[in-house]
Amino acid sequence: MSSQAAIESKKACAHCGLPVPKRRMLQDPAFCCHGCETVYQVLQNEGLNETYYRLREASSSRSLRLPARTKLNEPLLDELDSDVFAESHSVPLDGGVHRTHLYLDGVHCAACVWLIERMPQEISGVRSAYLNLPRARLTLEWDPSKAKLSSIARWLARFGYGVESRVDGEEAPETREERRLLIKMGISWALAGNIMLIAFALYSGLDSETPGLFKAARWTSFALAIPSLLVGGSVFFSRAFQSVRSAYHVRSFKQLHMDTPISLGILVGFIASAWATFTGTGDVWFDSISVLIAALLSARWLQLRARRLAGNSTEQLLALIPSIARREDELGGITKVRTEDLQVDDVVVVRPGELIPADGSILSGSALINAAILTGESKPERKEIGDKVFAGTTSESEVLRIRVHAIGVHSHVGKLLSWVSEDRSERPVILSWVNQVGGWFTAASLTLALLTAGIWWVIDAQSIVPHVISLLVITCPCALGMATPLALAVGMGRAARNGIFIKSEAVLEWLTKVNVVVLDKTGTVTEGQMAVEQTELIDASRSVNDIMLKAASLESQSIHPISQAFLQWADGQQVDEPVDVSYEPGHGISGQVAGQFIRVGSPDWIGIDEDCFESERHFAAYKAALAAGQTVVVVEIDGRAAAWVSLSDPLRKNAASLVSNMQQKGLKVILCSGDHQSTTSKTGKALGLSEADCLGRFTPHMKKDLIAKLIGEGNVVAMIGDGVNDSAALQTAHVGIAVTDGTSASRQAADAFTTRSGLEAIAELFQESGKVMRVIFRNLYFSLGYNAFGATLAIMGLVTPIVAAIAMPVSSLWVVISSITQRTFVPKS
Amino acid sequence: MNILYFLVPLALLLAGVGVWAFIWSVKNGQFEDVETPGIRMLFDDEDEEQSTSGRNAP
Repeated sequence: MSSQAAIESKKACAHCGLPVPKRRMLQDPAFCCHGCETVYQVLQNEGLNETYYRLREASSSRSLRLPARTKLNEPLLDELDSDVFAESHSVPLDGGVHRTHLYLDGVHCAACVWLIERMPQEISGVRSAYLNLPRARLTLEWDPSKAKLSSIARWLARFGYGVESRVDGEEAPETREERRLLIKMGISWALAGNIMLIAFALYSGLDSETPGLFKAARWTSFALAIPSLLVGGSVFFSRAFQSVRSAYHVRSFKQLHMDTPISLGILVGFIASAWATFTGTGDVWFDSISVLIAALLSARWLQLRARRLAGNSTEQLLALIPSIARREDELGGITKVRTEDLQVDDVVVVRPGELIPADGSILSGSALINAAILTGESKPERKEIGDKVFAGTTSESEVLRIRVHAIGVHSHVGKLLSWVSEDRSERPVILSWVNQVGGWFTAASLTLALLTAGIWWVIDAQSIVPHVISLLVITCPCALGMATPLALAVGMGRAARNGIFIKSEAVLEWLTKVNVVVLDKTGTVTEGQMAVEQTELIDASRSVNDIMLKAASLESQSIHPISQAFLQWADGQQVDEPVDVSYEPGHGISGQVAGQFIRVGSPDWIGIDEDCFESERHFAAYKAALAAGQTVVVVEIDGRAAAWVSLSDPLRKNAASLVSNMQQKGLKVILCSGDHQSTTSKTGKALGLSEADCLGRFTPHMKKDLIAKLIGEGNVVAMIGDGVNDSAALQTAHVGIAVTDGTSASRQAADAFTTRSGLEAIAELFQESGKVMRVIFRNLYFSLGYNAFGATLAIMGLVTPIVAAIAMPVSSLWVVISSITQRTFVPKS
Repeated sequence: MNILYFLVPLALLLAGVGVWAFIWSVKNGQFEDVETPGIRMLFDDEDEEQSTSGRNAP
């Protein structure tokens, strides 16, 4: 009964439709979070709400995702406005207008398209905005002198669309390749259609009535089959030739792939038919081989297209290292220079909140450095004069002067990134039996051809040649050639609609074999940012809400991660603008809020002891929180300690169930983090992992080595991570999966990534990849069965061109239907 | 049946035109994104509604 009541009392967010938390339940309309509420109000104020929500209703085909983080990535915005961006990532058009492509977060439905494409009406200086929804790629034409790209990004952020820090060029090689294949496919189908039309006439007895037409029909088919072979068939011939050559080099028929038997069938069929046309005797198979070419090209094209949903190889990353640095000359003057123009031993100035442009050591100033991007450590660390700092990390509290030691590709982050873009030769070679089928198949068809020749040599030596030809044509693996690519293309397409992007087909196969899973901690199994875990009153005469809101108002002036936790708790509410704010680095923040003097900071700084607490019990709770290794801060109002607050980086929802699920399936789960051993162990314990499987203080390189070691021991390893620090490990593993909010570097290194919030998508990927593999096997078994059946008929001498013309497309059609109707990656309503 | 000597080349000619049109449309990028334009159709309706507001009122 109570559970039913709970379901009934659930309210859906007026903006995104997700459940509304308890404390927001009383609002009308109610929202799940502050982000949604803001977007709702912006839409309302601009008068866009009515159409937006109507369009959203109209197109509920795509699964809803959580609204994107509306937090702006300030370094990225600077990057977008820089000359470097304009030069290298935008194309100047006529009239001072530039064109560029941006990738957006959080676009999912018709309403998003409508809203984003209204940009030219809303922002002057934007000429056109065109969104490619499946790829979340915005093509923008704008006048940089009238509208700054950063203000466009800010406009988008108001509605909850974040600009991703990856860009790609004007035309990727994948696009060209895809278009080329599509054209070949179109031509092949047109030719196949016409050849088939003529073949129908031949099958319905054209020859007996009019010998002239019969001859003309055969010659026309021959003329049409030549371009079909040259345009479409060449795709298979060249690949078959390569595989034959490499098989010859290593003297192993296993090197032959599927294109070899396909090419063999096509060529034998064509040569025999051409001979028949010239001599006027025997059968022609032009229709079967031309349909075969067209059908196989279609499967290839679909596969290529599905793969491209997950991104291009030419994408580049922005904003990991800023493109502009502030250089200080001998006289103390500061000039802005391009980061690439920096020299070793230059002095650069970095302001709070900015990315450090180069590796170096601190000359003056001391600041909290957030190195999460490099190390995965969630807590910023204090760095003093003389300490080393790295490019890509953020100074969070103070202005720093840094002497440059290494820049660009020589810097720490530069090395990591070049590793990502390097050739993937270090990865394990994928040689599954799906790929080996080609070699066995070729061997089998040649053996069967010899067998047929042998049998018919005994029965009727005259008909050896036609029977061998019919065998090679009917066993040409059309269905088999389509079985894998089609099932994978459909599976990957379905996954992409669910926010899971798979880059290579091998992922699905490896996932069914994985026996060790390495998890990153910060940002992967945890949310990746501090959140208020517990609030306890010290001064019982006050209310938690009042204290927290005042503290949050004060903290709104700071960008420290602890401040962010307070702001998140306050969820957009604020009491008053704080005045007289001052920071005590490493200790806390103080200032006037609504006439009261507030201090928020470490217990030692505020100075509390047992006497401050109401009772021993309260003090014990406080002691326990400290002992548990939690970060505790105290809020003081007008000189009296009011409350203490404990903060932690909370586990993601479903993290524990994901881990226990994996363990039940017999997978070994290892938690590996750049964070302190104690923090890592604590998280691991909450996930149900043993102490030995929680590895703390792991640098990116150690992670990579760990995975290489595991692979060396014969394991199939999956790595799940999010940050740049995980990129090398993601790339080394058999399967690298980057999770939500993953930085673009990890996405590039990974084989699959999710754009859906939470870890559910990972569980789904593990589970559904098995289902896709089952569809592939179903297709393969059917195709092999069909070929065995066809071969039997051919040996018996029952295969004529009309039998082939019916049996081959029917078997392919079965594979198409079986692939399309797969129930994998089913969106949850 | 002799009409076939004329009809088959004609059919091939038409097929040729079709193929040419197809190649043009691929090169023009018409197949780059087959999903969004279908959605965009909904917006035109809406613009019309706005400009002739009142006419479609219930």
